[in-house]
Amino acid sequence: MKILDRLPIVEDRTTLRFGDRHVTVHRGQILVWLSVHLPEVLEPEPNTPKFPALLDTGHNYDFALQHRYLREWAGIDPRSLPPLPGIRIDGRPVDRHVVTVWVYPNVPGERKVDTTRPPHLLNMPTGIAVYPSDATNPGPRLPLLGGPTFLSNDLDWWLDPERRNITVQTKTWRRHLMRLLCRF
Amino acid sequence: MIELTPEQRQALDRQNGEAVRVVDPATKDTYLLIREEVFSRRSEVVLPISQEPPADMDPQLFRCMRAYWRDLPELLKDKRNRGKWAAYRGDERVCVGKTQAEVYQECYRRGMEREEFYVGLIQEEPGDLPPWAVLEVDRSLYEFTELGEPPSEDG
Repeated sequence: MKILDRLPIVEDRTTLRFGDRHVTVHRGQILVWLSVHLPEVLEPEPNTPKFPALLDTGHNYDFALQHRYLREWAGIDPRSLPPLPGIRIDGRPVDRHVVTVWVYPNVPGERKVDTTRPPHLLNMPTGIAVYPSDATNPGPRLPLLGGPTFLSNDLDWWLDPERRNITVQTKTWRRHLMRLLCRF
Repeated sequence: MIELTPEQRQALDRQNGEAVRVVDPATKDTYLLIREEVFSRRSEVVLPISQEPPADMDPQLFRCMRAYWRDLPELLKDKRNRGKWAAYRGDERVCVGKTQAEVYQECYRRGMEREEFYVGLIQEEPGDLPPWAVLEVDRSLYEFTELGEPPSEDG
């Protein structure tokens, strides 16, 4: 199943509006829409707040965000989430919590969320990193969905440099074909 | 030059040439102690990952995690378990379910509080790291902008 279908990597700096908020997305950044829930939530309600995150394959953890994004964007008080032992980011201690995360499919070839298709559950077996509110470094400017997410969720991703888009999908026969083609 | 304490020398001996992590209790900053010749020989230093629980970890949660870690090899032997989630309270397994949410719901249905149990995924852990290991993550998101661009908005 395709989760992100030819999601464009936009060449220009854009301002994104969601609710009454504005965020900047710089050129070349890959934008995805997510929602975060308490771990016992089986599936998101239709009115669940969705928020933007950047797909960052250089990030060596599944998901990291600022405390205030969890509170203000996802509507969750981090204190209501089961805690896990912390992690160190850049040598500094950062909190870790158990949640469920859902990623929303895009309209094929566009950045917009496709409301006709259901979201896809992303397993976060090692939890998510939440920068404490009093941290000297408040954390990344936008939430980061790291490269390990693709590994722990067994997802394929393909970048089309010519058309400047990426496709992310669950495992299909295409994986075997790509593996074969990569050998030649 | 700062001289090694006997405690640091013993820690280095136990590491067989690998780096020893040293923490500054005041700032919580961590440092690596490694023989100079080993450091200069390597382009990449292998960071030791502590198998010990963090000092401030809830002992009840640690007990649950240890039970999960103890049972994981056995659970993995049955292929039907792979990709499922298992809940532990104390030393005992509470249930196994298809999704994390299902397992949480089952634990709450049985009247447990969230601090009482741990839910872990049944899969081979990359790097064989126990769930209580303190993970090391690099800072990320270095953004490139043109000179003169207005500041970024962040909600």
